[in-house]
Amino acid sequence: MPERRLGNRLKEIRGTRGLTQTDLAALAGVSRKTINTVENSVFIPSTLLALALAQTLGTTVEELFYIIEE
Amino acid sequence: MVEPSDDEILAQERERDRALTRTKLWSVLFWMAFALLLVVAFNYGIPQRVSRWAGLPEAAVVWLPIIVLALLWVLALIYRLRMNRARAPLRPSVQRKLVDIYTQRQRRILIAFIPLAAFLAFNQFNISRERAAGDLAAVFAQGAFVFFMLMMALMLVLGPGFLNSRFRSASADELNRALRGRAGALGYVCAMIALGAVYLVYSFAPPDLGRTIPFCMVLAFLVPAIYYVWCDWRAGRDA
Repeated sequence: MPERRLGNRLKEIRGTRGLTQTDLAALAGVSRKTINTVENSVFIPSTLLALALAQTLGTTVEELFYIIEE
Repeated sequence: MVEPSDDEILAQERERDRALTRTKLWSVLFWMAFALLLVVAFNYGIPQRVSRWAGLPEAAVVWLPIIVLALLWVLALIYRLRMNRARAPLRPSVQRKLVDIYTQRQRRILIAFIPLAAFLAFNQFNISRERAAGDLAAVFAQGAFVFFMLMMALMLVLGPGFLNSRFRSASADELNRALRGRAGALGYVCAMIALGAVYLVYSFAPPDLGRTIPFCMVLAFLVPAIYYVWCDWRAGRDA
């Protein structure tokens, strides 16, 4: 069975909106470290946080996150 | 009406936090003073005199005021926590800053406790090697050590401001919870290893038990604490 990992385009989309990690953290109400670890795929966010991030960035969860099959 | 700025709200939150700290300090002082009064009362045989005078059992004279005071204290705490007005949710930008402030404070406390625990373990190890070869009572007589370990475990679990609802919501930050979960899982493994080691030493080398127990207790605290601090530090760095 292939192993699944969560990939994300958070850094890319955040960059296009001209936001820093701190700005996005302030808009989403989480710490900058949370944004950093999600971007680096160290931490898998909950559905709630994923939806909040997508809403904050004006995009969809599917645009923001995708599955990597290995 | 002008909305208060983030910094103004943060200043209010800090003042509220200081007020809670003062309440906790007064509670501690109250119980210390009460304990001191009890010691003095026992020293002068007051409970015995009162029990003779009132015709009550001595245990009732000792325990009744303690139970009444404890109940009053719990009721006061419940009143303080529950009868306050519900506080409006914070703006996300303020919430983020509070998460940072509380996480930083928690991390500093943890870092301060790590060398303290290591020092106490080393100290205890030496005491038990010299005095308590095979004498468990001598090891457990060092109540201060056990007290410190419990305090540190509580600090790790509850954090420094568990009476503050803002602190509770800030410490429920997703990353913080995940890091605590990881550290907790590692702590569980360490505690199981420590228990296994204590059992083996008890079975095969009982005289060394006094030297093993402090080492095992510290292992169960230090390893997850250091791991938590390391993970937290890593979380702030770019990949």
